Amino acid sequence: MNREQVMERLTEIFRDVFDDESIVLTVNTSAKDIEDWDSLEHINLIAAVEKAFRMRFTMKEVSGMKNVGEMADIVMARGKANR
Amino acid sequence: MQEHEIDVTLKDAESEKRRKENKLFKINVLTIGILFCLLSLFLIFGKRPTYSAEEKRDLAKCPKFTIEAYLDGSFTENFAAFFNDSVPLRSVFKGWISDFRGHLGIPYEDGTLIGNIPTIESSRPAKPEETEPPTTDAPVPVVKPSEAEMLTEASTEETIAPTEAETEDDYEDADGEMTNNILIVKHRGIMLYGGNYEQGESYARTLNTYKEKLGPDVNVYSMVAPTAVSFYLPKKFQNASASEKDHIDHINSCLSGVIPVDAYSLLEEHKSEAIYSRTDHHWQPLGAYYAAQAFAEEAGVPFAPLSDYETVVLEGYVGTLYGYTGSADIKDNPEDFIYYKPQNSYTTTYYDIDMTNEREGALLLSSLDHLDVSDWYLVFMGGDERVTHVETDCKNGRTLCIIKDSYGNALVPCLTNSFEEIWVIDMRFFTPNIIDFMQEKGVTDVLFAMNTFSATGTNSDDLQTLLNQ
Amino acid sequence: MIFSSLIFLYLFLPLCILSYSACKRIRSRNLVLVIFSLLFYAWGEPTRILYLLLSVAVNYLCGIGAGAEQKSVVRKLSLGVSLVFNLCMIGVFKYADFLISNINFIFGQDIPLTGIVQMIGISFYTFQVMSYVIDCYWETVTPQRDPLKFLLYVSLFPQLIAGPIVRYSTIAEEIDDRRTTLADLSYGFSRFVVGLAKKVILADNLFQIVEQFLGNIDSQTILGTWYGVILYSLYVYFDFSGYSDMAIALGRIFGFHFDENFRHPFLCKDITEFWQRWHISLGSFFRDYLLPLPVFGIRNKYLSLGLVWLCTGIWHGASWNYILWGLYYGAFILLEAKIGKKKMRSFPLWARHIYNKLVIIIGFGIFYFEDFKKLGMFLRNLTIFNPNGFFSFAEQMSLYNNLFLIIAAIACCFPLLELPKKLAEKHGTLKAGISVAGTVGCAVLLLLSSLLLVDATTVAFLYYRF
Repeated sequence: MNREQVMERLTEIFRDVFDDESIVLTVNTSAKDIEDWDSLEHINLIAAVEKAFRMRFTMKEVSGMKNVGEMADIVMARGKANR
Repeated sequence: MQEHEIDVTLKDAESEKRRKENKLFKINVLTIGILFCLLSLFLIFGKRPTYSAEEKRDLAKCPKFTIEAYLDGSFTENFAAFFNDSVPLRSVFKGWISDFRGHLGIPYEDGTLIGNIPTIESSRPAKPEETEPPTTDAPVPVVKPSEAEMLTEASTEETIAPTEAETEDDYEDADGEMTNNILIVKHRGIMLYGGNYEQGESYARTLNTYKEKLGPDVNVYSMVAPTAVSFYLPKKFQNASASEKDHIDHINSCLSGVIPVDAYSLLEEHKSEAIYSRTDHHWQPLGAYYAAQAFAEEAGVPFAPLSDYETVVLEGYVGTLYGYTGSADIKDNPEDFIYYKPQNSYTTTYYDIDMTNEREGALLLSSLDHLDVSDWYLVFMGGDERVTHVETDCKNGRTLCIIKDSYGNALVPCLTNSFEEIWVIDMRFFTPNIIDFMQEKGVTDVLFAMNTFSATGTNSDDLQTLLNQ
Repeated sequence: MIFSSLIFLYLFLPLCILSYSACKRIRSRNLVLVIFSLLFYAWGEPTRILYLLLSVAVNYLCGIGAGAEQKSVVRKLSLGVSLVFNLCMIGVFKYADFLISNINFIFGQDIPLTGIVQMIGISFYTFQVMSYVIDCYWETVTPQRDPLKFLLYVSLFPQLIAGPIVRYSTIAEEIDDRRTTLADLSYGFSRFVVGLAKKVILADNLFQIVEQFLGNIDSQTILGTWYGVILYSLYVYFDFSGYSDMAIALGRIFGFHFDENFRHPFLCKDITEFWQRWHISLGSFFRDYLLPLPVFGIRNKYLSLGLVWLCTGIWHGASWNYILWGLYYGAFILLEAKIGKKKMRSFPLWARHIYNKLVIIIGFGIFYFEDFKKLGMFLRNLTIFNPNGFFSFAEQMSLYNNLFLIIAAIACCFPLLELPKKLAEKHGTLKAGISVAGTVGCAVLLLLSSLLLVDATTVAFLYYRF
């Protein structure tokens, strides 16, 4: 998977989780940019990403993730394409 | 070149601004720092008092340092207690504190409430349980001896309305709280009364037992004295307190063979006089005089008019209610303490509470100089923890035994013209069996004299104890 | 020792500041702080020092192990040892008797209670060392190899016994090197006095009223119950935030910058926001270390939410009412999450304020009553099922008697101190005047608070008897 594919898939997941079709992700998108992305919704987001890429985030990663770019890096390193 | 100049002036302005800021910081740091230092020096080097007159206790002392004391924590704890407790000029500061507390709000209808309002039983029981025999195994709350002193009042109030599920825990809580429910209205502290009909019934039953045991030849009287709340509680606050009259009437209705003494009516007639202290939880000796008069009439004994007494007036009396409430209104408005010295001849003998250590003494302390102002009520026999025996020149062959709380103390000098002998026993402290004692001394009349708080509170349980010990 | 006592203010603190400033090198300064911190912690119960030192030793080693660049076995083992050790510490010294009495109750056993008294500060410093070891394991901080510095981090007396929970990363650099500027000192002094005043002038006086009303809840009127619990909410806020203020201020005096623990919580618009403003260091601890934990191996926000709020409740005390209190908040936060932020915002502001204040105030009632029977009475007495009537003269009288205190307390829930700051920024000329006024104000508050502390040991009514 290249970064573009990952970002594309992540965008779908974000739109799904936050129920907002207008979300457009960049590597710099963080919790500040998406209103509903709080620590609680973060858990569901992580669960959705894990499911989509058939991988597990560590607790450190869940807790320390600062933006979408970091998430994409981890996914690219360990995720598996589901399609 | 020009740009450079602007830069310099900007820098100058910046450093000027910073200099100004630093100056302000310096003022702040120095002011608070110096304040801390001064207060430290004052607390460390100021002369520390050792006794608190308002609270009637020795202040914490500086502990001795030992390794053991440090390791078990007692040294540090006691040292902190000492440092925090015996502050130089403590009583001055406490005066300031009560002034400050007085300004946390505004008086309501001229009154201030300190402590809880008591729980009041809304309805009195329909019928006293006359047939029920006196029980000796009634649950008596366990009072640890060391706490008993502090408890005497707290317990009466805290057990005002024992709910069915009142546990020992609740009771323990009660003495921790030291609920002080006092209303302060127009320079007067009024203890709000809760009342407990059941406890009153138990008091009456116990007295009935006394009468049974003493037989028909001994007259037993019950005088439950009202307190200031009956006569001086403003209408506005009537529902803050239970009716002492109702409780007294209820007790009297439960007595059998015991003669009730109606002090209430006579006191009420005289309520415009200073019969209760404004600043103390006791009555004034004058109130006790009228109560004694009511008793003398009931007992059919002679009674001396006030003019037969020497009147002593002490000015500047601020009684226990200041230490208790910390109210500036009480502190700043002292009253007179007026007591009456009987002029007939009598001798007074004191015993310890176990009837040992007999010694002669004065019924009324000859000088109150060594007492704190708030302790002037101690003029009568010097307090409660002793047995007093008075022999008078009234040769009518009658021997009175007064079983009392501290309200009873002030009655004694009023009765030196009325009985040949008077024994005064505090129900909380006496250790021998009371019936044996009375029979041995040939007592002809027994007067139970206490206020409503005692009679309908746990103090009255001590009466039961006296019978069984 | 507590901050709001004369011995701390006028003996311990001056000696500590003087000794600290007499030392110039950072190492000796750290040593001074450690010595005074241990003295502070040993006050009244020196043996508890041993448990603190044990905890420091274990977590010091585990921190190094967890952050080591060795095999992951060592790292995992270190983390595991540390977590088990810390949870056991807190379990034994805070919850032992609670657990035993519940086991006895449920299984009808008769295991004797241990009688262990909860060790002061243990909930705070145990959480700190746990966060440290986890951070080491996650490699977000470098393990501290100097035992003295690590001991300083854990025992630092400003935050030792009542928080805030300071993360190692917050002060890691300042342990190695820090300076106290004049501005820090000025800020620290002023803020300390403000915190002290919050505790001594507001909280302590409020508590006396609270006891009058909630103390005999069984006979309280509807109005009296509400009055009591509203004042209790204010009391808890001023007590705790006053203490946090003093902690942050003391930290600043010694050159440390702790994070804020309270941000005017009563201004919140919903319950979720309340917890972003109330005891922030605890909330962020659970958010960072507990929320990401998959419950039963599943990542689900509701399960995580339940776990976090269960733990929040348990953390506050070894009694069921605290657990109920935590779950109560969890339920409302769940509700708000279900409704969604946009929908929440669509409600009128006044309605949101009424809703959250009601929840918060009743919540503090749950917090107050450890006895479930009394808690039941409390909840009943809030409503028309109260058998004691709507009101009595007592509430009105108490309100009058304490009117200025209560007005001041409510006013102080708002960010009052921001006003002069903003004013000074707007009008440069007023700056000096405002600053001096602040100094005078602090001096008055300090004198007044100290005066009231003289009353702290007052024993009412020892001789009060008939």
